[in-house]
Amino acid sequence: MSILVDENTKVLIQGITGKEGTRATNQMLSYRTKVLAGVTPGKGGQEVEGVPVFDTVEEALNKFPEINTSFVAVPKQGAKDAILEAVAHKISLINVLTEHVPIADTAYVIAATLNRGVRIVGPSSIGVISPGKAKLGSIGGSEPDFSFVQGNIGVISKSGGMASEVSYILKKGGFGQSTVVGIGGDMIIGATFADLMVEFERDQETVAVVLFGEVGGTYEEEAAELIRSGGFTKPAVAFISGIFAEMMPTGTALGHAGAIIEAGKGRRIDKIKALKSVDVQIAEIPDDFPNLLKKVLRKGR
Amino acid sequence: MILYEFEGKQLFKREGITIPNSQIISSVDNHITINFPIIIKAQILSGKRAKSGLIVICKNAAEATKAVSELLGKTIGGEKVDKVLVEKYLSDKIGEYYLAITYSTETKSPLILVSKKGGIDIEQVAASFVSKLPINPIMGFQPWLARQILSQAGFGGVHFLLLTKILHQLWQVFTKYDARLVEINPLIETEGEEFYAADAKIILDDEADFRRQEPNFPARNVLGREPTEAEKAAKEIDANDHRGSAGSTYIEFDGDIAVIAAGGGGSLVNMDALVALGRKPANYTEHSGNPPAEKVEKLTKIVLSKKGLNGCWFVGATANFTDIYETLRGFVEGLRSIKPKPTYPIVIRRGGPRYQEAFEMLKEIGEKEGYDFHIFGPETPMTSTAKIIIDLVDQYKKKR
Repeated sequence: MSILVDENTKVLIQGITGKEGTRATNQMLSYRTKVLAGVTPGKGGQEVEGVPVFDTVEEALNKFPEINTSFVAVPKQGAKDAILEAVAHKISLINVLTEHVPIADTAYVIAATLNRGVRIVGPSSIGVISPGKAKLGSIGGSEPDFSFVQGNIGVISKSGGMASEVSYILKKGGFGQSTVVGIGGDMIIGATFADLMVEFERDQETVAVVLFGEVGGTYEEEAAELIRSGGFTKPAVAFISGIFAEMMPTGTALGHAGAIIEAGKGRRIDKIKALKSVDVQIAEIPDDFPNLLKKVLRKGR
Repeated sequence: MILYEFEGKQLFKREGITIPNSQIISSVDNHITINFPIIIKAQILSGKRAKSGLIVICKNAAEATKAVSELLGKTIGGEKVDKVLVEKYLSDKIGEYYLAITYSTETKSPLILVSKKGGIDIEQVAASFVSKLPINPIMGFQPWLARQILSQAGFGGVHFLLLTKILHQLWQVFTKYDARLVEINPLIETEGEEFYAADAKIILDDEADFRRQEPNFPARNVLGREPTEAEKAAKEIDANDHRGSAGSTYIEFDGDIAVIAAGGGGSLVNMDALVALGRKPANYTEHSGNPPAEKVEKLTKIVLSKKGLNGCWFVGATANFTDIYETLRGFVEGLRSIKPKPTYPIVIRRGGPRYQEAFEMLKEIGEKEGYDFHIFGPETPMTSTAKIIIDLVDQYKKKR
């Protein structure tokens, strides 16, 4: 097993004719992910890497009703509209690659998913990969096997680059991954650490999770709360970056919008304290993950 | 973008929120037209102005002249005061309240905050005195929501109607101008049941700049100091070329290790490793999203043109799709343009598409042209190269 994506994932790419959309399509197909259709308004009838392009999500679904996942790679100006179109058609997983989405748009589309059985991962998500099964987006680039190998560790990362790096570190340390999810580093995101930990808890293949967090927001604290309330019982290890980010004056946007320190909330120390209080092992550097995992998995037995 | 108080008040005024009679002054020669008593406030971006003596109440012209000349030109935490806001002092106030709207990561939505105990100590006001209510952005602002939170905050009677109107206007500012935060602290109530936004704190969402029609606020530094020439130049790289990103964030520090880091998340992990070892970088910058070689070349030139460098650290994780050959080709081109030729150690740690090809190129150029390259691939933990560059820099300094 795995979470979010697997052999049964059937993908629609919104913004398939753009540079990012085409690249992701190419990479997903070469990972044998089932990409059935694409949407770019005004480009219906074309093909990208052999995948048919439609003008609307409705047309794509009429032709391919089995589509259960949308990958959104439209520019930020059109991201809200594209996501709402996918939500309206109740595509159950919507993975948003688009970066720099205005926070008002993100909050709006998340509100639109409430009670619709739809999950958004992202925005600013590098993608999702269940090694050996399927992947969404550019995660792992054109050579995902370099960083990812099938296994039983779940990885959740705010940083896209670090999702691959952490997986590579795990692979070198003898651990494969069940599913690796780039949740994005924006202040407001769809699926959070806790949301996905609930899925990993249910997933029989996953024996432990690795969390890559950053300063800002409260999602790491929420993960700690989930563990405290018994919603996640498997071992977890985490790394929280931010020593440097916290040296910066307030309001300075570094590479990740989510890494902005606002109002003294969501500091690195707060997150580490919250996670430690529920026995999550904290890695000093990401390279410590394999050893920490060995430790917690031994203890669990 | 953080707005100055006077800019925030312009937005308040546009949406109908009453502000005290005011004028902006940028020279001691400007004539004050507001009737005394007045309150004079230095316009800087950082908070806690009252506690830093940057807000002065004046009863007459002599006091005002003295205050203006003392405030203008003053530097606080690196920020220079070049404007002061002169306002009518509201001496008949009967209440100071706190109203704000911002985004919450807990509710993933806008959140309204209201307190009856506004003023300079709002951060110390017990959480129980600040009422919070999330707003579903699809439902938007509704009067009943305002009444509900006002009631929770202890307001009643005539306040319902009057404050609901102001909350609605504040919501207009929040949504119309794509703000991440709008805050009135304090909202002053005077004896005549009139309400004035006595202060304004607004942070605009930079990601929404593309659709904000007006007003256009001038660029400002967020570092508490003027941006350096190099920082301005680095910003230009992305402004004119939207392929990938290089230099959109470039900040100079007083260390001697030049840093060219890759990836938003990865770059911060590496900076953490460097500062955890007690070292300060010469700069922070990152590139990501597969920028073309020319952009990396331009960024490299800017980073390595800094005086007093004793080493360079080009560091990144295993890239998902950034073409490592292209970025390192850009790095080498930038390096070649630096005169005199750098003799300091250059540590490169990278992985990802075409990295082996890139490393072969680097090795050849390093040998032929005499650069002190130390090249590491994905087999070496990226953060461990922080220690490597530091040790090499220390050796280099000893030798010289």
